[in-house]
Amino acid sequence: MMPAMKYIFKHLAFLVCTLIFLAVVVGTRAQTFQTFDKNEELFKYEVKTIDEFIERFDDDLTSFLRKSMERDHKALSYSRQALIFSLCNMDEKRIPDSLKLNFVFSATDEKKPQYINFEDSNWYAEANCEFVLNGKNVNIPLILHVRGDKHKGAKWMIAGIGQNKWITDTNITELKYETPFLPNKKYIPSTDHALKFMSLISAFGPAMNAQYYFEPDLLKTDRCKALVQMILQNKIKLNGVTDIKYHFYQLPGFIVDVEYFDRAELLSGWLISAIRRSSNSNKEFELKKLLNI
Amino acid sequence: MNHKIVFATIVLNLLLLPCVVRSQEISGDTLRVSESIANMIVFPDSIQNVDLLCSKENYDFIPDNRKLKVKAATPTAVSPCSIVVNEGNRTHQFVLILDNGPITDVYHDYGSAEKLKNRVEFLKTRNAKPAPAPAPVQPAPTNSAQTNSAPVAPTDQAPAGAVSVVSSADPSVMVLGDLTIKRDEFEKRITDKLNLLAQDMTILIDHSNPTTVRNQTVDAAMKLFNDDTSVKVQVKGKDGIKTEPVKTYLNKLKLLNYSKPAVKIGNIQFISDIKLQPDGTYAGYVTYIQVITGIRGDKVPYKDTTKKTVRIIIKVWDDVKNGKMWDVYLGDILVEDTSKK
Repeated sequence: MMPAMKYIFKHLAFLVCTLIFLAVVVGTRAQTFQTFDKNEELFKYEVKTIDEFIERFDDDLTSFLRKSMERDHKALSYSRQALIFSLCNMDEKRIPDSLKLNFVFSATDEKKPQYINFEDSNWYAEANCEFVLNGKNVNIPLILHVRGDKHKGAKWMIAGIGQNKWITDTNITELKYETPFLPNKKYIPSTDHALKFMSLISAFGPAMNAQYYFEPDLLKTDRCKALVQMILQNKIKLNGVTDIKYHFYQLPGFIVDVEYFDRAELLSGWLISAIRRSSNSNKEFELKKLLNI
Repeated sequence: MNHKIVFATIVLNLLLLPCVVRSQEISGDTLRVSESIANMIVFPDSIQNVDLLCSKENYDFIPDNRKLKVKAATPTAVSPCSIVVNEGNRTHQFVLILDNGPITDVYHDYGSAEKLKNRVEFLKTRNAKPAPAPAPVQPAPTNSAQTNSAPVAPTDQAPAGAVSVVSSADPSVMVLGDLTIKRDEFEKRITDKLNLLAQDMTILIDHSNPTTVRNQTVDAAMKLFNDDTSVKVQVKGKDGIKTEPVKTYLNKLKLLNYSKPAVKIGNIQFISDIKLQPDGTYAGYVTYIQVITGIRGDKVPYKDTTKKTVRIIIKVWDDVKNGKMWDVYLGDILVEDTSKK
C-alpha cells in the first residue's frame, strides 16, 4: 500500500471524529451569547479559562466539557486528538493544517503522550500591564510563571520584563525595602491569572518588598531594579492587566502560544494562536528573548 | 360611646400586641465572634435572661442592663451555636459563628424600637427573596462516560498537579491536609454564597427598599468575603480598567435605583483544581454569568449581562467537638462585559 494511503487509514478515525466535532461546533457559529439560559451551548464549548485549556488538552476526566456532557446524559465521544485539534484557532492562517496535525499526533503519540500540568515551571503568562507614568498610560509586559511545591503550595512569580521603552536602566546598587522579607507571607496567588493578576495592583506600591513577587535572578538585573525603584518611589502605578498571552515550552519539539479569542462562536476563548517547531537549544534562545534577559 | 371606643381600642391593642412584638424580634441573625474581640449588642430594654444552646464553656457573655457582650471562650469553641436573649417582652435568637480571622463588624445597635424593626425587616427581606436560577452544573454521575477517548495520562504525569487537592484516585473528593471533603458539598457551599450575594445585590439595586435596609445589606454581603479590607472588584469599562474595594462597589450599586430588579446567576463553572497556597489556605476560582434586569426610573427596561470570575478561599480549622471544620469565602472579583458576544 502506498505510504499516503497508509497514513490516511491510520488516522481515519481521528479525521472522522474531528469532522463530526467541527461540524457540531462550527455549525452553531452564528449564535449569540446574551443570556445563560439561551446560550448554554456556547458557554459549554468556549474555553473560558487557561485551566480549561489545560484540562481539555489533557482530556481530563473531570473537565468542564465532560461534566457538561454527562449532565446532558451524553457521552463525550470525541477523541483526545479531536479535542486538541479543536483548541487551535481555525481562523489562524499562519498555522498550516499540516503543522496542526503534526502537533496533534505528537501530543497524542501512543508511546509517549504529552500532557500539561499547571505546576510545570516552563510555561509563561505574558501579562500586558497598563501602568500610569507621569500621568500617561504606558504598557509594560511582565512575564510570570508558576512555582509549585507539594508542601509550600503554588504561586505565580515574575520571571521577566518584556521589551518596552519606559524603563531606563540605571545603576542602582541596592534596593531598600520598608518591610522585611518573610518567606510565604505575601505572594501572587495561583488563581491570579484568572483574575488578570489583580493582586499585583495592591502589591505594587511604596511598601512593596519585591522579593515576594520577582524571581531572584531577575531582581539582580538593572532593568528590574529600575522598575522596582520606580514602584517604591511611587513614580509608576499599576492600573491593571489589559490582556494575557500564554507561551508553552514543555511540549517536545514545539513552542505553543495561546491567546483569548472573544467572539460569539463555539470555537472561542483560550485557543492556540501559534505553533512553532523548535529544538531544545532554540527553545532556550526563544525563552531568553521572551524574558528579555 | 367613649367607653366603647376605649374598650375596643384596648381589645384591638391586646390582639395586635403579639404581632407588634413579633415584628420586633430577631430570629436567626448570625454574629461572627472570636476569642480576641467581643461583639456588643444593644437592645431597647433591659436584658432579663440569656440562654446559650451549647455548652457554657464555649462562649462568654456579659449582660449589662441593655447591653450584651459576647465572645468565644476558646479559639476552638463549638460553631455554630445559638444564643437566646429575653429583653422587655421580646425574645431574640442569634446564631454565633466562630471566626478566628479579623472581624470588624462587632457593634450591633438595636437600641431603639425603630432600629430593631429595621433589622427584623432587613432579615425578612433577605430571607424572602426567591432563590435565583439554580446552577446548571450538576454533580457528575458516578459512572463516568469516558467510553471512546484517548488513554488516561499515566500517574507520573497526571493532569492534577502536585499541589492540587483533587484526589487522583477519586475526583469526587478533595483532600485538604488531613481533611477529605466531598466536591459536591464544596460546590454547593460556593453556589449558596454566590446566590446570597446575588440576593443582596437585588436588595441594593431595588429603590423601594429603605436606605437602612440597603445599608445593612452591604454589611451582610461583606460577611460573604474573606477579608473585607483587601478584597477588590475590577471592572473593565469604557473608561478603562477600574479597581475598587468590594465595599465601595456594593455601595455604588445602591445608586442604580431600579424597580423590580432581579439578579440571576447561572452557568457556574468550578475549576477542576483547588490548590494549596503558600500561607496554608486553599484557593480556586469560579466563573459564572450574571444577568441583571430591572426597570429604570423612566420605565426603560434594563438588562446587563456580565461574566464574573471570583476567587474562592477555603479555610480549614480545628474544632474541639467536631474535629476539622472548613468553609468557603469569596475573594476578588473580575467583571467582564459580554456585550461583544
